[in-house]
Amino acid sequence: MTEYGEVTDFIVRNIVDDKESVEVRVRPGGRQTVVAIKVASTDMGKLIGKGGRNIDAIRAVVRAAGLRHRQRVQVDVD
Amino acid sequence: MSETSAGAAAPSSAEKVAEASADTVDEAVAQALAELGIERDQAEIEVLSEGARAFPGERMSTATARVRVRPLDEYAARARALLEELLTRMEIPARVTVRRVAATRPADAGREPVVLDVSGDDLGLLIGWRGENLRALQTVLNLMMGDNQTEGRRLVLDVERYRARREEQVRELALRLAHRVKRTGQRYSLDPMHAYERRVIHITLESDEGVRTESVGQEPGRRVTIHPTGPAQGGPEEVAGTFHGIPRGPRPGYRGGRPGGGERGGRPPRSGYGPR
Repeated sequence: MTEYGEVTDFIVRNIVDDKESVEVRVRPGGRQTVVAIKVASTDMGKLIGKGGRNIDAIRAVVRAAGLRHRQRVQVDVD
Repeated sequence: MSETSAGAAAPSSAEKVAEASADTVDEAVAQALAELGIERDQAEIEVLSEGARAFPGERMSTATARVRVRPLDEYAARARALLEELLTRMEIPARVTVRRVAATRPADAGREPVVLDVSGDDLGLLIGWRGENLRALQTVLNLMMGDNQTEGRRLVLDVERYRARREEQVRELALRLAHRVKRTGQRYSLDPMHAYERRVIHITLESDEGVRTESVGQEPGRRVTIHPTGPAQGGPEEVAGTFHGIPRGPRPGYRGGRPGGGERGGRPPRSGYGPR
């Protein structure tokens, strides 16, 4: 797992209740890396947040980590 | 100079506090830490007085720096550890200091926010455009802490004192505008701001009986309006030009309408004047 995956995985695991069900997959690309998050359906609310507040914040943090390496990171929720 | 109840006889570790004075904050902190026998990363630091600060063209002040240092409580220690681990995973080398600040108003006593100060080289990335990454990181950290905003202490993140500086600007803006509202007797609507900054305005003007503040509108366009509570008082006009003290203008390529975006509006300076 690349570092963006690790950052995402660390954040998500610390937010959800059902840590066993957390799955973070990384698809590296030339200019853009895609990070896909999977959590238990019961944790979806926590992950997304009101109006997408939580997932937007997670995206911003992971993007900031990517910018250090001039890499664009897209964070998806499965 | 210092009062310590460190040692095995201390009734509880929460009461271990050391105060120290020195020429600089760093020296004072070092003294207090030595007294408690702990490391800087295990301590919560409260700066009681900044001490001597020599501004260009100004005589060196004779004030001494005073700090109060106590061991981290469980909550602050956990927050600090989480943030450090997150930064490590982001491959951002930085130092995290836990700072204690006085409650902004008496009602908040006992619920002082835990401020995590991040410092290091080249941390602009962590701040982001007008602090958006800083706010995101704070949101994420609060989520990881189990974010229970109705009780317990608030967790506030700052990077390179960005938030502290910004807060000071907003406070000055509030005072200046309150003065203007009282002078003209006309209400003033500020540009949309973030909840945190709106809160600073409300708290700053809470004790001013000449004005009343309220937030109107929907996020992200929610803004503070300052109302006069009495007739125009007249008086000298404030000096124009440095009126807002905050650089204005659109972000390059900014198209507006984004949540977390237009915190200070993108108008030319003149349109900021006068009630709307």
